[in-house]
Amino acid sequence: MTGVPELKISGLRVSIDGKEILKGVDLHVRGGEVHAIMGPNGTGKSTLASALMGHPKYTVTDGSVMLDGQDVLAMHVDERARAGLFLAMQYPSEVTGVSNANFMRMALNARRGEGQEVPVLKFHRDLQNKMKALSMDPEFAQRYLNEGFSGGEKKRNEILQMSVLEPRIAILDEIDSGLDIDALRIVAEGVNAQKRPEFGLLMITHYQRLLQYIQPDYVHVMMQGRIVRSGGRELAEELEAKGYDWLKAELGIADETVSATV
Amino acid sequence: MITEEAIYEQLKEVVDPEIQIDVVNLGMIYGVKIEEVDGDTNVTIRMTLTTMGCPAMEQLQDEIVHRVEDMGANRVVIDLTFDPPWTKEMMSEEAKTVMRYLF
Amino acid sequence: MRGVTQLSGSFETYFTQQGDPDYLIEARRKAMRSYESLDIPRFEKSDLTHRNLAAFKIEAAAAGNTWQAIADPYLAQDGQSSVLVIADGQVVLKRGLEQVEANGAVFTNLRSAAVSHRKLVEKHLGTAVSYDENQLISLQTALWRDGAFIYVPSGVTLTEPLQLICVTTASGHGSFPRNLIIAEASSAVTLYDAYLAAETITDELHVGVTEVVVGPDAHVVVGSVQDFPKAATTILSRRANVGKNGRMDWVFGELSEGFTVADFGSVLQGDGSKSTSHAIAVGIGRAHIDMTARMIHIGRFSESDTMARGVMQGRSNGVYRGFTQIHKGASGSDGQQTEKLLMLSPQSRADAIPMLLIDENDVKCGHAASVGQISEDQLFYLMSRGISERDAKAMIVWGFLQPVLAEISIERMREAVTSMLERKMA
Repeated sequence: MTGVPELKISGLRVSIDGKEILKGVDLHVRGGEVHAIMGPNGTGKSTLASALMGHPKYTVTDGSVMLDGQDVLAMHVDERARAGLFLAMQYPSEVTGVSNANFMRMALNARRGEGQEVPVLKFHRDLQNKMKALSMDPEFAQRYLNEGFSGGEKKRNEILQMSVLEPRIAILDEIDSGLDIDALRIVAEGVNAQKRPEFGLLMITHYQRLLQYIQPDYVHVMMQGRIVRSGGRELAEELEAKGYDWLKAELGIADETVSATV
Repeated sequence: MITEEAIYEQLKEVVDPEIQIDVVNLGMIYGVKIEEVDGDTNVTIRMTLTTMGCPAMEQLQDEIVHRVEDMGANRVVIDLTFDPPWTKEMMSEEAKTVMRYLF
Repeated sequence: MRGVTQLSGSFETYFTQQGDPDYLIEARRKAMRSYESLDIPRFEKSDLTHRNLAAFKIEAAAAGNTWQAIADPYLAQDGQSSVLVIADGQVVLKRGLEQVEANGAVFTNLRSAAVSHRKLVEKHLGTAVSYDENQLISLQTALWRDGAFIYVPSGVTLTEPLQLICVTTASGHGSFPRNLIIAEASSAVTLYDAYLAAETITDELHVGVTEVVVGPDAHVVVGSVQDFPKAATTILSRRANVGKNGRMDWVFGELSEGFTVADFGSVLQGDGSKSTSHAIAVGIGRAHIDMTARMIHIGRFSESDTMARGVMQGRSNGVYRGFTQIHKGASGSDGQQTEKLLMLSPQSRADAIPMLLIDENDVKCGHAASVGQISEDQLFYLMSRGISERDAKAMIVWGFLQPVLAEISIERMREAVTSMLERKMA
């Protein structure tokens, strides 16, 4: 698929174990745009990320998600990835015995399709360059997938995968959590390097700090399982200055979490 | 003027379809000889295959011949030998690293 | 307990007619009496009461030609290896065994060696695995037909691995391979052995024994693979006695679909003796695999390391036991063990049991035992990168087996086990 990607989320409702978390999310992300979803903990931000990617523990009860006009909710997890969706996870899994680089190579070949596989030496060289750009030690290519990686190293590995797979729409779930300033700067550089018209970005973050490094075009605030306010980057600045309480007061929200009954 | 170096550079573009690594890094090229005879440039490439019954061998050799001809050689001959037989040790360090962790 | 008395008469006649020397007949006789007096072995997690333990005859079946197709995938393809093939208890192929003799070493079948190398066989047979270990080992010691005899003199290193293939094509005759390896001081040898049977086998009792004598500073590697159909009941006992600074490495690939109880390991007698074992099992269908890696430390500064990983599919059942015993006096010893089982289906069962018996203070011990399933999160993670569910599961399973595979230092052995696994997990 070529051209400018488009992710359209309409009225999305998601539950886990019978408990409703997302109560009607609307969001539109186009290629070339950077969106940030902010909000206090417990408001459904991570659920949105995981549900979009299709984690089996979540149930979609209503709404639709369209990627480039295709029904995402009808696709299996791997189909969504091959359609160009990518999720940089907050807690990436460790898979022993699977080499980091070989895993990425197989994922890339799965995306490119049969007969279009990248020759191994070329892949190896590209990977080494990408790792250098992320200040990752070359030996991380040979190590088992995420095994024994520190939190920061796991996050960098997520961005490395993103740069290898070149997705159309990428969702970053709290990519800044657990990172110090230096690591954050490197990760942000890696993400910013992906910016182009064929790439749409949705960042989920709790703190405004990340947005200083990856400038958003649109900022959305999530409370009680839905987006309650959208704006430009000034909205993030306003939240930084006044805190979430200001917004809660404005919207008449007492309990911002998904468990709130009012 | 065709140089040995330039020929090797060309051969680095020729990829073994099964292993997906080029024939130079695989260590399949044993030697390149360039001779000027009566104004003609004749190139002989001494090489081997990774396995005896390599199914893509004709295709591989055709590609090599065409590439060197395109460089300006008048006659390109492939001297195929299995002595010494190919072993993994002949691969470049880079190819060896790749084989170790990319498979 | 099976009524065996009617065997006793014909049993001695049969082996005498076969040309066994008197010391061997006497050993068989003693073992047969033990078989008659002992009860069916009671294994903690393996119930033999429903297995057909009478699926054998004293006489071997006549070896046909069907063994060839079965042995072929395992036969070393280069013309250089020394190979011994035994089908239905009889030697059917000997190839390249003379190369070994050039070094003064011996590789032949045990029945011939019982005559030609009488002193060695008489001295060592039964020293690592005792005839009365259990009722079925007694039976084996009484009825064994053939196997490998390997002798390596002092200071000799056999660089090319030796190969033994045992094939069973006829049902109901039983299979009792017996191997004896003697490595004198500072010698080295590697044996690959494969135990195979025709798919069409109906009830079959297979009791195999391998004994290894590792002299001081000697190094022996035995890499075994086993692939039996579901009607087979297999009892295995493989043991090495390791001398001072000697080393024994066991590798075991178990792919049988039947009922297997295997006990293998080393007695680290000499100071500084070492032993490792690497085992991989894949259970399919209704396979039952009960594996014990047993390391006994007697000498000081002895070291052991056992690694076992298994994947249980279908309705199979796996029991892994790591048994490390450190006797008083074995000071400075180090015993490590790892048993990990992965259950791929809800009907499969797995038990990982670490057992450590330590009678000495100044020692190091480590153990890790776990049973798990494929994690939903791991599967989600791999699939979220575009890998299909089928490929993602295969990745996780191969990744799980990888740490043991990577430890198999002999490339050909590693390749053989890998291709065997590929066939079974397809």
